[in-house]
Amino acid sequence: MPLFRYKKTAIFIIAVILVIVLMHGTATNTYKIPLAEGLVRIIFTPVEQAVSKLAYGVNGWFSSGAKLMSVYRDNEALRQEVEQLRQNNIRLTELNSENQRLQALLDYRQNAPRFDLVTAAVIGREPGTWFSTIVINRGTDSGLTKDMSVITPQGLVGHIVSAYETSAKVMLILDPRSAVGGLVQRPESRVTGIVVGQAQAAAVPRMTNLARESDVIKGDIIITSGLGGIFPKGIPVGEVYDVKNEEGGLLKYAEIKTAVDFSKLEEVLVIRSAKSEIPPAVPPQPGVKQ
Amino acid sequence: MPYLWLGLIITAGVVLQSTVVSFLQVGNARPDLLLMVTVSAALISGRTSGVSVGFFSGLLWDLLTAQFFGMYTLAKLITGYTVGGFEKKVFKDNPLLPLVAIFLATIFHEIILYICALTLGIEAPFFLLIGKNVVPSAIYNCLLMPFVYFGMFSFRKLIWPLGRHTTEF
Repeated sequence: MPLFRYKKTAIFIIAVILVIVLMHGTATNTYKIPLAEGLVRIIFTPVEQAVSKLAYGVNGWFSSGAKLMSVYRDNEALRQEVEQLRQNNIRLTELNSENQRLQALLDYRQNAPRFDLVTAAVIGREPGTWFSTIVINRGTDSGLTKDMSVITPQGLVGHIVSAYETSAKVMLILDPRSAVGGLVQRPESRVTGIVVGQAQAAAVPRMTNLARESDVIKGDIIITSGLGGIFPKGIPVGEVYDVKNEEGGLLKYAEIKTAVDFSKLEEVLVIRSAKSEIPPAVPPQPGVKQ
Repeated sequence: MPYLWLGLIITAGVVLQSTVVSFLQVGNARPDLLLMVTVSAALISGRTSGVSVGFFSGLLWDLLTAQFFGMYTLAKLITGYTVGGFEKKVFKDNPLLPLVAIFLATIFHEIILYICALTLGIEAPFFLLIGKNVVPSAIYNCLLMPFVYFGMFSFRKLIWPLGRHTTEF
């Protein structure tokens, strides 16, 4: 057995040496083995061709699958991009809208230098049958206090009923508890009344306490009268769209379409102080009834 | 025809290595089916099989690729011999055995090739080669080795019909 063992070891060592010699020989072109190479090539070439063809086919199949996956991924990516662009578009539209609103507020501030105004955003709404209030994002920190008037460039919104550090609650003129001194702007009329909200028709406040013979007609613009001490004079409240007689009395009332669209209220202006009394909305003309 | 199946396995390995494996290349990592067959044979049946399979698979590959004849023959021959030496010392049905064996064998095999290349005047940065080519290929071999090893292990009676013929060198 030891002889057999050594014999195999010897064969192994001889094989290694032979291979090394052959390797160096072929590398330096000392020996060439074209016959063996050619023979192996002849045998293996057709097999390789067949297998390669099969492999290319399989690879093509996998590549198609991979391409399909790639198309799927691209599609997903494009969908996400479209969604992102859609979101951007919405955001830009929103910013544009906000810009327009803020521009309008700015214009109003510049055109109303007698008011010390604070811009505030509506951050909460409490719509309901009995109460109509909103919450704004400014409070005592910004110098706001109870009973300050809240407006927009279009007209009167309401007044602050509670002021907190960084927010304030505003009672809208639609609230049944609200009472605003109103004045018909038309120079021939100048009738005063009280604009109150209605629980039964929250979007339509009324101007009450009008004598039956008072000159109030459909289309009259109602502005604040300045009476009562809360609202400065001359702020548009709305437009009369119907005048009705009170049942069983000597009075009548006017239903008013508010100047402000309360369903689209997003930013408001709070009047911290009015520097002087507002001049009449329309300059007095000779012969006009006051 | 006691070595028919072994011959067929080597031939199939050579054909697949020269055709299909190029599609399986990932980066610099390329599996070496012939090395897997050599190491499997060495682990299952010992040095004689390791040396025989290594020699013939390397020889065929050298003849087929016709670059530097003998490089792969020598590398696989020595790897088959070395791995075959552990045949009696390992649990052949341990699932980790082929993984560890092929990982180390790949590095060993590539080091022999590197030395051969150096002696033939081909220089390459050793550690870069190990990091970029050898280790990724070793890991790749680890992924495929269980199929080759346990495939051959399952059919060992068919492949080696004369039984274990690993006379120690």
